[in-house]
Amino acid sequence: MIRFVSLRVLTYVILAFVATSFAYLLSASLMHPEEVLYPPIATEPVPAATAQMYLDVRNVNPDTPLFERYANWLGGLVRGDLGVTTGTNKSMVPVMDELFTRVPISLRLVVLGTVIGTVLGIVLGMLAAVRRDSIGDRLSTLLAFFILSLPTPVIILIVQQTNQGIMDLSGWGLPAINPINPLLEPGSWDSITYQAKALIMPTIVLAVTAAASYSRYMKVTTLDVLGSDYLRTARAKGLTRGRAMNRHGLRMALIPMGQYFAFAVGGAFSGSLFVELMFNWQGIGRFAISAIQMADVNGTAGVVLYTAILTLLSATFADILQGALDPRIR
Amino acid sequence: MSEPILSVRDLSVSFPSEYGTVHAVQDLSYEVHKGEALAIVGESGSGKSVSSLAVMGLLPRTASISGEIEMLGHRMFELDDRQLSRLRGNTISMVFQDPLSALTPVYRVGEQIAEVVRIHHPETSKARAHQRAVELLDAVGIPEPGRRANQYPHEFSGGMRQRAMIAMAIANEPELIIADEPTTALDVTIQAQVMDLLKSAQELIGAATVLITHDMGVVAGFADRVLVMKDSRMVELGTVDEIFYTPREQYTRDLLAAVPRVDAGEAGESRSVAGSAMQKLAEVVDDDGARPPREEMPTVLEVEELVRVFPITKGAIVRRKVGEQRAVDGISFDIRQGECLALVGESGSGKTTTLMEIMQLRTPQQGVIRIGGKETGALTRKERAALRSDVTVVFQDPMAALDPRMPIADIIKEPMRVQGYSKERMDERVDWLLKMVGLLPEHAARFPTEFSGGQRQRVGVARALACDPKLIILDEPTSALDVTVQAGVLAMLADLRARLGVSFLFVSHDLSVVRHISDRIAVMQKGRIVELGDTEEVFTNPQHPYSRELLSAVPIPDPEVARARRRESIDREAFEGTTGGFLPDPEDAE
Amino acid sequence: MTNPNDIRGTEDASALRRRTDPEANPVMGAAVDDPELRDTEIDESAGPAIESMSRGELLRRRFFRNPSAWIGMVIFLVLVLMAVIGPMVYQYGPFERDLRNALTGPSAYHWFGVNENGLDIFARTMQGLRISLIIGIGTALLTTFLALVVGIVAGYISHKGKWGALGDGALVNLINLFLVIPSILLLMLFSPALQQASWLWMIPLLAGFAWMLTARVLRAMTQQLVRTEYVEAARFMGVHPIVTMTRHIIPNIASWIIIDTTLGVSAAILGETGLSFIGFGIQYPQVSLGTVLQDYNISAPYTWIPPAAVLAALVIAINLMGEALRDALDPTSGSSRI
Repeated sequence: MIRFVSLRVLTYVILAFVATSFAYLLSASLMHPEEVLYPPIATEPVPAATAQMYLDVRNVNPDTPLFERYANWLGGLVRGDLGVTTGTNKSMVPVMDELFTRVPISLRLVVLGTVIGTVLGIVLGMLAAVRRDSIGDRLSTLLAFFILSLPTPVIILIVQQTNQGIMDLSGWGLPAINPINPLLEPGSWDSITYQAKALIMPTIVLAVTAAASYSRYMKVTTLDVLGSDYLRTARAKGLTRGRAMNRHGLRMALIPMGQYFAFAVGGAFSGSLFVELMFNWQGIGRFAISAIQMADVNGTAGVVLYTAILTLLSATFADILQGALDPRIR
Repeated sequence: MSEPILSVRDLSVSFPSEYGTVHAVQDLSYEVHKGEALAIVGESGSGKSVSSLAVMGLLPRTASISGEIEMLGHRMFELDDRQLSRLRGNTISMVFQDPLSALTPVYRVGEQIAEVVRIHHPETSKARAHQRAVELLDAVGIPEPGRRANQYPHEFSGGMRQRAMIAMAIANEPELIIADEPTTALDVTIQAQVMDLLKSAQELIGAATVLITHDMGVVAGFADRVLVMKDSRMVELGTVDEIFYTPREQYTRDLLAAVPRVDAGEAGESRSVAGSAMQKLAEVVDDDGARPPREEMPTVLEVEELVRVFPITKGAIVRRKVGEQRAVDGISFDIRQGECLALVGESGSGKTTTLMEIMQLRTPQQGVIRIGGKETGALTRKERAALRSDVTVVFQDPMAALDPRMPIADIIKEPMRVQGYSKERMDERVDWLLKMVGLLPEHAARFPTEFSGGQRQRVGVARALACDPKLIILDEPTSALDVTVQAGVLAMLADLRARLGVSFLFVSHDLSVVRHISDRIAVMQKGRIVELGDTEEVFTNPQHPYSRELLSAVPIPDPEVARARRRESIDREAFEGTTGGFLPDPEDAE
Repeated sequence: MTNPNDIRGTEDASALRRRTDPEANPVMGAAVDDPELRDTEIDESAGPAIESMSRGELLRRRFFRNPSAWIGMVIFLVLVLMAVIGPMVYQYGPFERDLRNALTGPSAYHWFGVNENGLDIFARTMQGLRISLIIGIGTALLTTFLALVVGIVAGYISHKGKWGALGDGALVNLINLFLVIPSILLLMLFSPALQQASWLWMIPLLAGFAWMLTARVLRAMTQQLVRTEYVEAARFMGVHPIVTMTRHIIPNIASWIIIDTTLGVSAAILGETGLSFIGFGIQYPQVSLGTVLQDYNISAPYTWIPPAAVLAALVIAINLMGEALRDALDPTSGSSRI
């Protein structure tokens, strides 16, 4: 078991490293930070030497060979330094600091949304399969179908508009945007309740999209299990339909879900990107958008590193889960 | 006779389907008495399995059922799932066909056996139930039951899993055990052991047994009474002797007549109807005139010291070799023109690997393969392509061997197209080939799915014959077919050989089939040929102990012979003394 | 986008698993599933009627019997007609400003109303629908083509000796790599550079990041088929590998490819809309449904509901058709087993 998991983790670490390097090389060759250095509104041209120094400090000088820049960046990576932000702002904030302030905000969303969505999806999918063709099954299948046919921005708009409608009618509603209210005293009870309330809508959006796809998937695996020989054996032993499903079916149906979960976090990242944009959360998603808009090479690579680590962790978690559920792969 | 413990009256089961209602069972009535063994026999699609699932109350909810099933005073159709659950596993238990998928893969075997005890006797402590599971595993002849109980199903071999299933079935000493094709997925030697075990278990706990099977040979040695089914209806019900010696219905007689017999030589003295049609088949084979002795015939295929080793690798990232499996370990044989050599062995003996090595037409890892005198390793690309028409193959599964998207004319033309035949010639040959294998030329435009299994296998043979091959390799050509269909295909093959003078390499696990068609026989075990000789010679006087074991494991479709055999083996055991279980376990080797 | 959350992902993975994992195969779940049983019954009861019905005919019948197929087709045709005719007859263009009427609701002149910048929402929605349709269909076709080539070749060579296995392994790792980096990030990286050339670059760009999952499934299906006896028989007859692929392998997965392409259209539209919404997709002087949505205003619902409804209707219509196709092909698949 330990051997199995550690082998897999090693594979993921390699995969994450290759992915991040790939992303760095790609963004370094595709983006041109030197162009946004001199916005057209600059009153006087910057002296060449200053510009060179400016670029060198940020490790984005196009005159330095790509692989030398990559080597510099790698050296930093080993020391835990991801370079500084580049682009139109001159403040040279270390990417690491930027990530550290933003990761908790994003992670709160991603983890909460994924966990609630997964649990909800698994329960709904299993119930739909067990009670096939009941009203509940048809309803949840139809709902999942519609949710998966809508792009995330539209789902967010529907949720926001519903909240707005309730607010207009009853005068009470959830905060429309912003995760924190700067007017409230930090740490006060009001501030905490505001934060909790602000979390509700984004979580609903992420959980609903995750639940829709998990429930579909879970329904299919559960139907497979329902038709299996071992479940029939379990019933032939004298277990009722429900007990056979609980004891033998559920565990078997969960095993294939693991591998799916492993890569679904990438999907959750895309979802959180829209959520952060439209709810005005200052998380990694927004950072990613602005980093690419500003041709921030180091920032972009940092974002990819974050997603790669996220995938690595969730894949490892999925493997451990799978190893615990299924003795065959230990 | 005593009161019946199970009585089925006018049972009908039907399912809704795309093509209208499927009547799986119609008007079936039978009774099972205490301690008796009833066999329900029928070919695929006869409804035998559905009827037994109906008794268990395990049919899918889409099924519509009518009639009545009474079990020890309980009217089964009036009980709900909870009440039925109290009977299942306690009063009735079931052994399923496929031991590979019938056990939950994620629980230990011991746990699964203990579970059935604890479901019906919740007062039993966990430790006590586990102890009982170990006892049961011991009783069904699993060595080291204490250790084995803590293993998972994937660590068990097929035969051992079926033993574990039987342990589960007898755990609560039920009144009735239903065994649904319990040995179909197993090798013949394991089949013999499992059937013996089932019989002993039944006798030990005094349970009645319903055995569902397609195999007449198994029935003869096991059942007291036999129920024959065909196309969802009962054909005949009688004692085992009645059915085998004086069947009343024509279908029963046909079914029995088509059963191949391993004891073909002595079958003349047997009173059993079984094998009479196959007897005639053997005569066709033997009667094809005075053939010159085999030494004078040209050699079609020669295999010398063929070796094929598969490395066993481990590791996800860095693959390293941890061992090797010698799938084929230095075998030699040759086939002369017009001859049929049978290659017989159980699963894993290397017969399929041998066949693949020949069909590759490449240089083997070690050894030499010569086809028509030419070494396969020394062929040019062109020669190899031409040689493809000389050696062709017929596969086991008639469903998978034909592309479902092509009409059969195109399927048969495919090898001819490769060899560059003209269009007219191909059309002409397709007609001729279809007639040759007993199909109508009008069928040429149809798709494989419109044919039955036996007809598809005939199409496969037609394709193999397309370019006038010298040698046809038959890879278990009849093992997926029903016994009556099998008889037809075998007769056709025998006829083709006599008429066209083509040679066969007949690969099979079934000794009784081979007996009727082959001239010579090679017995394979663990990658080696342990015995090679004339068919008659090997059957009447086997030299190698493995050949003898194989032969004695083949069930004989004659109740008297089967009973005599069983008495013999019990006497021998009593003489030698048994160890622990009902039976000594020759499976220990793995 | 290679988003594992999209509709295809779930079904494919399960279809794949059902085909590859014998333990998950419902061997004898219901007697109705037993092909032998079904076969014999057909031979006797239905006889020639069924015999003459080819597989294609059966598929067509099942498809047209399904009401959701009809609903999907009708909605889709209406939307296509709207996209073609709408901009021709409507008086406003997508970039004509009518600032006097900015932020007014639907009226006789501005059917869907006007947004903050004085742009007519109906005109923009119709134009966006055109672009989204072209991009969706183009991307799906290109994706299928790429996936077909890579998937079948990889599946075919994976059993052919050391080099085959090596090439196949490289492909699998490449696909995994793309699953680690969210493809939306990569699209955002490439899009601005390519947009400068032409908006049509969106098609190869989206296809370039969408073929992986499909290729993976096609690879698995090909591997399955290569192991079947009829492909093996073709090999033993000396049939050329390319002939085998086109005659035996592609026809046998064609129906799956058609379904996947259909669902790929909706996936591509969703991907394009999302990208355009955050400003990395279609740029001025073109509009897509995503850019129309960008101008949403929560206090004026008509600014976003019309484009969102059109978008939803389009994707739902395509998905309905795709699912109906799947049900016709495989009535026992998870989405609607019997």
